[in-house]
Amino acid sequence: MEKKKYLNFEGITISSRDYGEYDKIFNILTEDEGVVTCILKRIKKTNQNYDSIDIFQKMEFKASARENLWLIYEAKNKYSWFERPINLNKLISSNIIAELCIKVNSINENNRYVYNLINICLYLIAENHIIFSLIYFQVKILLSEGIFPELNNCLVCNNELTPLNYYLVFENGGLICSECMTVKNNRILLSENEIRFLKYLSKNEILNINKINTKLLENADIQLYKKLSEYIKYHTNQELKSEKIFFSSLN
Amino acid sequence: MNQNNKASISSIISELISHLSQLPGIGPKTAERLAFHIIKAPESKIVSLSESLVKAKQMLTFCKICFIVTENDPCSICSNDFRDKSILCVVHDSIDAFAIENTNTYSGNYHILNGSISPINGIGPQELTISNLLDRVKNNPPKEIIIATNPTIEGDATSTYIINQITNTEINISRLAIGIPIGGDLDYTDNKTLVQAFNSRQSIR
Repeated sequence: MEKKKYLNFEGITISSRDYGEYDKIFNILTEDEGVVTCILKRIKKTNQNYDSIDIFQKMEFKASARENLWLIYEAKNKYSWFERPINLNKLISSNIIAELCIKVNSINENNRYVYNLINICLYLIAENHIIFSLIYFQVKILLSEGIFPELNNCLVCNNELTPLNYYLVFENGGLICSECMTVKNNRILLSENEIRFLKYLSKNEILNINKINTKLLENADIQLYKKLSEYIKYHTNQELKSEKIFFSSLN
Repeated sequence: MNQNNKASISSIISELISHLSQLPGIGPKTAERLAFHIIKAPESKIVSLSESLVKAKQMLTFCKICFIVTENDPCSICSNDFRDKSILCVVHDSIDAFAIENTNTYSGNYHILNGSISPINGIGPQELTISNLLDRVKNNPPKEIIIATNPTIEGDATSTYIINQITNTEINISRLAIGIPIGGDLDYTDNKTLVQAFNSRQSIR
């Protein structure tokens, strides 16, 4: 009889749902396999094989991998980003990142990159840099998916764009100068400042959140987040449920 | 194998399996097992099962005051004058209230939220009965509110949201303690639970 193979891996729990009477299913982001769906048996009852497990925790797992569903045998806590009790804004923004990760990211060769990205973004949210974290995640996920908009040259005439406000045209995937602009729908106006900010984020990585320039944080505003969100929705055809809650909580 | 000889599942069974697999926690395999159990079971048992399903749907409702599942509106808890109306226990679901009732230690009233805030599932404060709770607290302020939401991140966020919305500072607000289960062993308790147990410790003299 073939001996059962166990996998030991580190992962971040990004969403969960109840399954049956005592079990839960977790979406776990891993460095090597991307998002994997795992079942934790009898998790709702006291179980000595699992540490207290919840969403947005970094954990060490022991599992057996099946085709669609991994069976977790052991789970040990490594790190939690959020102090309990978490406030609603932090929960909603973490959920947006998780949902975007599950629905948008195609997870192939970029698994490790997305894993580290989620790590940083959750740190940023825990430190209350919520809008900055969301925009940073949007920019990086667009880059990793290869759909980050062209911001340097006009997509029609190819002339280099001088610092001004320009329309980002969804279908073309970039900025179009006023002389070449013919499109009326599916476009958003980006200010000179927003374009500069997006360029900066696309070229730079945040490695240490304690060293973020406060001016950089001030550039992150909800309007820019909404604009990028529209652009992502157009290209991925995916609506985020948590985003609806986010926008309604702002009203 | 000739296609004509291939056994095909009856459309009635397929329909039954499809309906059963829409129930929470029931996958296609379990639905199939249940369907064949129903077919093999005596007819009288299945008739009484289907009757109780229909009866539950037709006769049960939600109490307009506390939102617990009930036959009578207001429910037997809200309309009971012997219960302590100065304490309100806030829980996720009716089933949590029934679990607390089974302990025979609580004699106050309840408020059922009908879930917890879960943005990833599209559930925000507006989808729950939080606004009804706030109206209730405003119109008839209790002395104490016990928040008995699950000790998960979502349960925590729900309780924090409710606490922030209750502006009446004269109301005592408490949360159920989180810690080591009875019969549990300290050395097998994980760090997070142990920290919570320390934070929720009680003075005994």
